[in-house]
Amino acid sequence: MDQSLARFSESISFDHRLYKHDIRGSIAHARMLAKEGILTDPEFLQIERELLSIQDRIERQELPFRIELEDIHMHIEQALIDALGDVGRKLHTARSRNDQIATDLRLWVRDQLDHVDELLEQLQRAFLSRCDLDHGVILPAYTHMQRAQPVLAAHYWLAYMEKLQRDRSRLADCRRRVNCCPLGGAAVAGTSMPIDRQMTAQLLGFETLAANSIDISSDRDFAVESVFVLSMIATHLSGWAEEWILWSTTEFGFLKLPQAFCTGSSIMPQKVNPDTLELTRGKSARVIGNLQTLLFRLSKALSSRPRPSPKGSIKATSMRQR
Amino acid sequence: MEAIMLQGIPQRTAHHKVGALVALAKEQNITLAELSDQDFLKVDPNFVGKSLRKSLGVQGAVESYRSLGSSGPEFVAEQIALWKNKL
Repeated sequence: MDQSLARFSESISFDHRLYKHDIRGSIAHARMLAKEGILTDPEFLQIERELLSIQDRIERQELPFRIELEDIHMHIEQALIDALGDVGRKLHTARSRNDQIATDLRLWVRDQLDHVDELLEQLQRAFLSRCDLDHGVILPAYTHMQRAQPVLAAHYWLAYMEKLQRDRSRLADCRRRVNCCPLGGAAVAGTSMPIDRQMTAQLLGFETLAANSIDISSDRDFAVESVFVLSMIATHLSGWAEEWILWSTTEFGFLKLPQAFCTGSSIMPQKVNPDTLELTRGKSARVIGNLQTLLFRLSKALSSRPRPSPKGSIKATSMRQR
Repeated sequence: MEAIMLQGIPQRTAHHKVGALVALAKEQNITLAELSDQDFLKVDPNFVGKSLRKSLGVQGAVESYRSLGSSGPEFVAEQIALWKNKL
């Protein structure tokens, strides 16, 4: 392959972060293959041990990533084959990279949603603790950027509690649809091998089983939906940041930001810049932009080449599969 | 405004009358609470400054909110307790 094409088509530079989920999915798949008699028990144990050792090597950065191997799946599989030969070659049985990537991505997204939920809960606790700290403090509430009615500061913080709670509720709802197992969909039509999809789904902690192999190969709704939920969160965080930027100005002077979260100006020594809040606002733009990107990419799933861009992130339903 | 509405004056009328009070206060460059009894009576012969003054000022206004979900101190305290229980 031409080097420039390899550089153009590689995805290892960003899908390397799926390594742990890819390995988890592969171990579950191999365990199922062993139960079905497609692998022997010793073969499964060899594969499991080697995959865990590969995971270890990746974590210690001892497995160099090469663009010739394209993606994380190929890196892991190649390392497995290098170590185990033909036994390693047996792992990728009754499985396609199509259902493999869909599985990896769902496992990864599921973990990320859980992580974000934890972060939101921490933020809620922080807002709640301000309610006690600001007991009795009265602030103006604004409409049309004009002073409207006086309110308790705690009432403001509780408004954010509500927004964040809706975000968490959306995360939980979205998680249910993310938590559906595509493994076993194979390339696009399923497989004639005797696989047990229930078993792999259960091993991977999926709540439901995706019902249609054609749908499996193209479904990335869960990714788009997740990014929508994140966009909503970003919108809330951005609004909060905007409010506090304004409130921390000399003109408003409602609050004083901790020095540790601000930066100075190189030329105006009197300035304390609310960088953290400005960056919160700025970064939210990227999240919201990504939603548009994913929606557009998904809407072109049939008319474009079946190869996704980035590879593996959105997979088209097509007769031409890997 | 809501204090005079509680005396049975329709919101549309009350809005107008408070507007007149605000204009008087602006004229003298003082707050509503600082208006004289005479000023209150000028806008409406039924206005008694003393009873209206206690609902003026931010503290009085906040304490007067009484709808569910409002910024009234007891509702806010209740919400804080609910959240503490929930998290």
